[in-house]
Amino acid sequence: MSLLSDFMLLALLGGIGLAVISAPLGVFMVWQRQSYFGATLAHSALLGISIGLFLQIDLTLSVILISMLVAAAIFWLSQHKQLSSDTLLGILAHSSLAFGLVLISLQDNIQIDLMGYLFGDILSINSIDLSLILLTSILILLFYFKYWGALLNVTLNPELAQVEGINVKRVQLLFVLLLAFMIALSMKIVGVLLVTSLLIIPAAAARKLSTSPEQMLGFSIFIGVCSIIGGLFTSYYIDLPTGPSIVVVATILFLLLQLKPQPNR
Amino acid sequence: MHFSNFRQPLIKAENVSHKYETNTVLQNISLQIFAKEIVTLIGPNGAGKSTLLKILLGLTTPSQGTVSRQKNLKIGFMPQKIHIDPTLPMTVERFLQLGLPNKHQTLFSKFKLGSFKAAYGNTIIEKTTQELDIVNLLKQPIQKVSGGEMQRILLARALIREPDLLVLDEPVQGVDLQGQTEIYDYINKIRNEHECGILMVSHDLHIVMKHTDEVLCLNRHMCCTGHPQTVSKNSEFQALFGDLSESLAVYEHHHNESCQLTHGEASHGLSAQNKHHEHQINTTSKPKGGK
Repeated sequence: MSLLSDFMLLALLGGIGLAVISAPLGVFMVWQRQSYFGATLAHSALLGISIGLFLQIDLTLSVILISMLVAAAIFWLSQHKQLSSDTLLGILAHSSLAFGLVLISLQDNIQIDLMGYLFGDILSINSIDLSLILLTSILILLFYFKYWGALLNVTLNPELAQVEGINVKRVQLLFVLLLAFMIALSMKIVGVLLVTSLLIIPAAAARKLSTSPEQMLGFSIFIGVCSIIGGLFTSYYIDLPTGPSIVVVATILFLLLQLKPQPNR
Repeated sequence: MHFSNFRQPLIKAENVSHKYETNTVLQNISLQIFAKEIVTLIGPNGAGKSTLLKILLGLTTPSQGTVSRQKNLKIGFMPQKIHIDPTLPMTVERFLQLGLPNKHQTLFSKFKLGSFKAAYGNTIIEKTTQELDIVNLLKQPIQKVSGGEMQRILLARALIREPDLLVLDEPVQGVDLQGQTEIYDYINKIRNEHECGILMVSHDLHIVMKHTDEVLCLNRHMCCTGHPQTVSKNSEFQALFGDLSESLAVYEHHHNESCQLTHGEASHGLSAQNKHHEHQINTTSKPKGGK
């Protein structure tokens, strides 16, 4: 008799949870011009899947491990860089994707569902996924509780932040690892395209409404949650693919907000 | 007369050399900065000014040599320029608040409005912004201010930390002439009021000299050091800066007439004089050619 079937309720809870945890990471990706970073990590997740299949270990675990390894690699390379981070990310994104595909093709009897890879399957969220999302949100809350101001200062100017006594490398590395963890986790649920969309689009849309970083975070959460709810219900009632519907709703919200003039002239 | 010997330097570099790959950018640099002293670092492009600054600030580890700082030295740093992405919504006021030496600027500290620290911090911000005449900018988005205004904001941010050592990288870049004089006078006032040491980097030789106690002329190695007058007469300095050093001499002349009193008053004047002599010796004992 309930209005929502069980799977819809789980999808809603999981989706809202993901929107909430991607907002604090997404705003910093936008502020630091790192949107490609998310894409790279999402691609490297495929390598995680194929290694997991190859070694016959739990896929979620292997995706998380590989993503965090790639994140650490990016971090290390950017510290000792001869290449621009743009080039670096391009190389890592596509090489890890290629390695992943090659490794998968070496194994017999395995086919990957490309749509599933791109858009995940939010309707198949289970309680384990939900508890992982909860765990991530606790990690993120702890991180921001301690480092919100520090991360803002690092975003403003890393050198100034370091002179002012912030351990810039530690803050950056923790942020990157957290991002990798979150992306790996939500990969399976919402897929590669949705992860990056969920990180970037609500944050970008929130800019128009905000005059402070905290406001932008708040609006970003709100817009993300609206996109999830809107996307889920449109797909439920008009029978559209769920993942893409969520991205479409988020994009429409973003476009609508572009019509609004800047709050701070 | 040996007053300066009893003072501990705020920061001290000893025989610092630095290489990028095989390219030596700094060679055997030693320097000290004391409280209440304004030291100006000058040198042509590529002389290693920024590298030396980064080493002193602890951002770069030198290939050789050591940098030692006084215990718990609080540094206020004003970077040359700063780019803030337009997607980051931030008022000038918030930018300044983020510079307060508050160890725990958490997501929630913004809401603890009544706390003593916040009130104290805001008083300092109020005072500093009034003195720098940027109160009217506080509510503006930081991306909208002009270059000259930004310099004042960055200076304010360095000052609200109440530093023992103030490090300024080209502090008057993009500031009009009148503003430059104002800022330099203000920096001089800070030195006297807060008794902090000041290290300034500049390639603008004209105005720099006014309140400077010691000039370090850098061209990969330390060409010459000493009181502005001494340095401006140094042959290596003249070779480096050519005709500029002439206009400098003119300026220096003005300065001497108008500032004799203030310099005489400070006990510090004595030690500067003292050092001045040391450096003359230094200059002659290091005749490594720049050209």
